[in-house]
Amino acid sequence: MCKYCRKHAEGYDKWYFNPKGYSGELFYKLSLLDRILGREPKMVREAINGADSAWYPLDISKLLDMVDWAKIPFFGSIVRAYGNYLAIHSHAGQVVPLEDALKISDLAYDHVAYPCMCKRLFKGQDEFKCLNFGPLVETNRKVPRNWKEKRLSPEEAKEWLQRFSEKGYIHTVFWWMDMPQVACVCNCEAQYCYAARPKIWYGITNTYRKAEYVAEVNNDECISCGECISHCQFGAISLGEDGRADIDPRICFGCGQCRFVCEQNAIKLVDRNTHSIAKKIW
Amino acid sequence: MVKFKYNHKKCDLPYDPAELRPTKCLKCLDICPKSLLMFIPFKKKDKDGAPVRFEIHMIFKSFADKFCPDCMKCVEICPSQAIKISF
Repeated sequence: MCKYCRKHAEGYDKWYFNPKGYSGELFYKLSLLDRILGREPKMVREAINGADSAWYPLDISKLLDMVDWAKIPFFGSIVRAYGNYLAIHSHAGQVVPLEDALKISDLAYDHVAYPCMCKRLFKGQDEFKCLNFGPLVETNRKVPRNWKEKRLSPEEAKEWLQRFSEKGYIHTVFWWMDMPQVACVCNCEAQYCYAARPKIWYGITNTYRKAEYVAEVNNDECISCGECISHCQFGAISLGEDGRADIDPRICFGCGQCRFVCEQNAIKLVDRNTHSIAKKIW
Repeated sequence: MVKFKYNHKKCDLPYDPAELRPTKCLKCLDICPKSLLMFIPFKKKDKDGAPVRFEIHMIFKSFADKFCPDCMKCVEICPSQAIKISF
C-alpha cells in the first residue's frame, strides 16, 4: 500500500475508494479561520478562483514556465521538492486502470464531461473526455464564464470510460486540494498532458503518480506480435533478447492499456507494492 | 539555445467571446510534434473582464533546446509569417 493510501484510505482498498472524497463532506468543511472571517471553505474558494475559463490558460502557462527552473543544477532539486509538495496540496493525479475507473464512477454522483483542457490549449480541439463529478461541478456552474459541459447519466459515464479505453487513453484520477477529495477522472494522452509532462521530462513525481499496479508479461503466452509496443504511451515495452515483449517495470505506469490490445491475454497487472523493482518507483 | 519569437500584429487569431478561445487557424499548435505551443490570453482585460486577444506562447521556454526538435514546421505552416525561431 502506498503512503497516501495508508494515510487517506481509512479502511478501504485505495485512497480513491474512500467515499468521503465524493460526498462533499471535505469539500464544504469550514475551518475555524473561515468561520471567524465568514468566508467560504478553502476548496470552494480555490475552485472558484481557478475555474474562470478565460484566465485559466494564463495561470497554467505561468506554472509551466516555473517548472522550467527544475532543470537548473542544484537549485532545481529545491524546485522539484516544492513542486512535489504543491502538487499534493493542489490538483494532480494518479493513473488508474479501467476497472478502478469504473468503480470510481459508481461511487460518484452528478457526472459531467468537460473538454480536456490540455487538448484544448495545446492542440486547439475540444474533445469531451474529462469526466468530473460531485461538488466541484456545482461550484464550476457558479463561475461567471463557466466551461462547456455535457451531462451524463451514470451508465453513460461508464460507456464513455470504456470507449476512451478502446481509443487507448489513460484513465487518471485527479484529487482536489486535499488528498481523499476526488475531482475528476481524466482520460489522458501523455503526449500533451500537462500533468504527465512535468513528471516525465522534469521528474516532478507527484504531478502524475503511477498506478498501484504494474504490468507483467507471461513469456509462455507471448507470440511476439509487437502490438503492445506501439500502444504503450510511455515507451516502456520493447522486444527482449528472446523475441518476447519485455516491460520495463521502472518506466511502466500501470495504466493497463497494453492488456486490451494483447490477443493472447499474456499481460497481467500485478500489485506494485509487492513487485521487487517497481515498489519504490512512483 | 532555441528562441521563439511571436509577432501578434501579424498573427490573425479571431476569438469568439462565447467560446473563449481562438476559433480560427491554430495550425502551429496542431502541427507541433512535441506540443510545446499553447494559446494564452493577453493580460489586458476589456469591460466584461474577458481578454482582449489571444497569443501563441511556447512553454518550457528556457529548456526548449532539449525538447524542441527544431523541425521548423510551425514556421513553415504559419500563413502570415508571425513565428520566428532562432538558434
